[in-house]
Amino acid sequence: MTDTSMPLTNTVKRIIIVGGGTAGWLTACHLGHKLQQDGNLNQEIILIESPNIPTIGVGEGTVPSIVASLNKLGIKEADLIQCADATFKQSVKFVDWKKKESNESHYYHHVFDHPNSDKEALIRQWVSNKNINNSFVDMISNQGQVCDQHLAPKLITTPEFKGAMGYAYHFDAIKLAGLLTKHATSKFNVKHIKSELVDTKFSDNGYIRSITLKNKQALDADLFIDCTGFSSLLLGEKLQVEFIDKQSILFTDRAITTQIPTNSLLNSIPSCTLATAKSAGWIWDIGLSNRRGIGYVYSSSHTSKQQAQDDFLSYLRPSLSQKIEDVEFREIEFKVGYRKFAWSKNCVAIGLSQGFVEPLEATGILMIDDAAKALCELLPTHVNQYEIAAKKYNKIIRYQWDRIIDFIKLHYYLSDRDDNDFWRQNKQHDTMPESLLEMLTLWDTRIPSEYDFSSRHEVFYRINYLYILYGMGKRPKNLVFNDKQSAEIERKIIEIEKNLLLQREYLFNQLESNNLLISKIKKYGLQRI
Amino acid sequence: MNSPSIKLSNNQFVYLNKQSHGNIRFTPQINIDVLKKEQIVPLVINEFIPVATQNPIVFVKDNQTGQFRAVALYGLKSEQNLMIKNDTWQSIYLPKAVRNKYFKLIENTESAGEYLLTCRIDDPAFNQKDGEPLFEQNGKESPFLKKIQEDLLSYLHQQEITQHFFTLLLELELLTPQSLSVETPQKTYNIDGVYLIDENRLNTLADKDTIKLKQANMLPAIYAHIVSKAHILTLASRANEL
Repeated sequence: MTDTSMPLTNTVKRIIIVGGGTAGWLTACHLGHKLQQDGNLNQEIILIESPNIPTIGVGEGTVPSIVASLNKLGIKEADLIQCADATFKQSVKFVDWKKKESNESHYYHHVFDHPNSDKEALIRQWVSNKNINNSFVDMISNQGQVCDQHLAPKLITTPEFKGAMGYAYHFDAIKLAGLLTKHATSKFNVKHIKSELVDTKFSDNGYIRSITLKNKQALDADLFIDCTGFSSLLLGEKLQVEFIDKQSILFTDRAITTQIPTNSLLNSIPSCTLATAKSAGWIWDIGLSNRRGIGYVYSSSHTSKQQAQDDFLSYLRPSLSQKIEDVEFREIEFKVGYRKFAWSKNCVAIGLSQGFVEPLEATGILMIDDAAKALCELLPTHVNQYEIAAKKYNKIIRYQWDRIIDFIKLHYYLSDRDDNDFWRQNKQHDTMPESLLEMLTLWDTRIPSEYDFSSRHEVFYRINYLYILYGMGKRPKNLVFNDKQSAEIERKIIEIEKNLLLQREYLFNQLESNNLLISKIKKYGLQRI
Repeated sequence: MNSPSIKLSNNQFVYLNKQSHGNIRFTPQINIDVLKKEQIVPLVINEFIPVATQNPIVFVKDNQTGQFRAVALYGLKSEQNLMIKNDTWQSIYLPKAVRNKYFKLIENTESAGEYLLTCRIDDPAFNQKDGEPLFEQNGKESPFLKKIQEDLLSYLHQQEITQHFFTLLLELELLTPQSLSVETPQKTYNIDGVYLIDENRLNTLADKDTIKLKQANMLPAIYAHIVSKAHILTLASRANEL
């Protein structure tokens, strides 16, 4: 028998996180929680936050996986609403992603409701029958209509983190980071140092040995987590890990953003993100309890700065109560893509330092959360096991970035808009990832299958693709089912449709508006049970 | 869906004053027609023991606020009150929430901690002929009205203690949601949205937590609730007699 174990040296004793935005603090919470669960008292986590570098904090949308994470970390749902201005999000509503037909705007919902398998008959029915009046989402779920009515996904009597339907949040990312700071330092004993990184020292093997701070403090650690945002100070700058640019696939590289204060008592808060397509990109519109966060993500190769501003203003104007001169705008430049390795030597990048794509499907916080969870699971106890763990980690993270890029690209590819080269070029095959083209070739004549999504670490699954493909009206061609519509199937379909209708009546009857529920939660909180 | 819910009354409460209400008299009465349709009635904690001798005490969430409330359960389905037979109340104890329906204290918005007395002046219980006078000839509040105010203040105090009771139960994770399924020879009733005290959890509570409950004087209420659950069967047999 051979002994495959290597001599274990250098147990992991100290982890330093550099950067204190959503990425830094969410990672600190996940790691802190993990150490606490393991009863590990020999490791410490230090987070270095620069008091001078502002948090970018535009990531405001999330997807349902965040609900389970926050619950696991022991955060109170009512605190998100009371301290981070959170509102409930149940869908992304895509507006004008198809050409206007006789001046009618097209829209569809990518909802968070995952219908159970008995809806399969309805999916087949919708796909094979072009004469159905219902939109795809309305055929299998009530959530699109719940969103259109600005209703909340739960009741004041529903326990925290549970809903009548799946949901996520919109929140103020800076305030969320504040909430996570308090949680990580008080519940998980994470040490918080407010200073700036000024120098990095390396060991002979290229591992980071220590960092020096502006306050002259030098700190060594076994693992360094780079949450320094776009600058990617450790992984990108110090370790020189290459950035893989994906602009040839996703063209957007600028955003112009603003915030408009609202009065939640007067303004209705949508319970979905609005994503409205424009000539060289799209506009996000997110309602928090005290303000709307709005931004135009566009491609600087396809429109001028002036034109982008004009397009943005014409979107804003109808809903502005103050003078347009009083609205403050921020310009952000970004590069779409990711670092070739998220983990190199003893440094892991999480957040913008790891990669970025436009926030069309709220993948920013999603990837932070996923990358932090994966790190907790894969982080070895000994430093000389890092290389193997990093290999696994990098494979998963890269796979996830590629799938996110596929999924975002799909939204553009399906569009029939032709008002700008931006849209025309998005449909050219040489801008398409091979993996997406292959899937679309298959889905040209069949419904996507669960087997098309075989990894256990997919970011988007079959149902997400169905909502986008069929929301955009991309039915498979020449699809003939040999179901022969037996009386039995027909009975079943009628039965399911009846249940959906009953559920809708119940929901419309019981659910309150998003703002009413938010204001109630601010006052009364939510029960744990 | 059959979840018991506390009903809000639409009747308007008005502030009482001697100028407008000097001649008004009040006849205490129970509005049987309303009570007949009340499946549950809210309780405060010092009512648990008298209620527990004849009726189940369970916990529900207030539809409007999500806060926990203690209630006496009088029926197995919505709008059913099995404790009323031939228009008469069948139980020894009548909860204060039923008796107090005509008067309510409202906090003075201009002076915190001070309460103003209001009543449902439009109700036929108030008139100029029969019953107890609210004010005396000289315009002073009558002893009857004073007694009502005292009762209402003590009720408010009991409501606060009841809320503290729930804070402790939740902190110690003693509440558990439970669907009640009550079988009678004719039919099975399912009641959702009900919470009970988890007896297993109570019995395995750390000593320091049990002492906490004892010191807060919550143990009698907890055991009253546990004993009262047996009366769910009493309700079943009453339903069977219908």
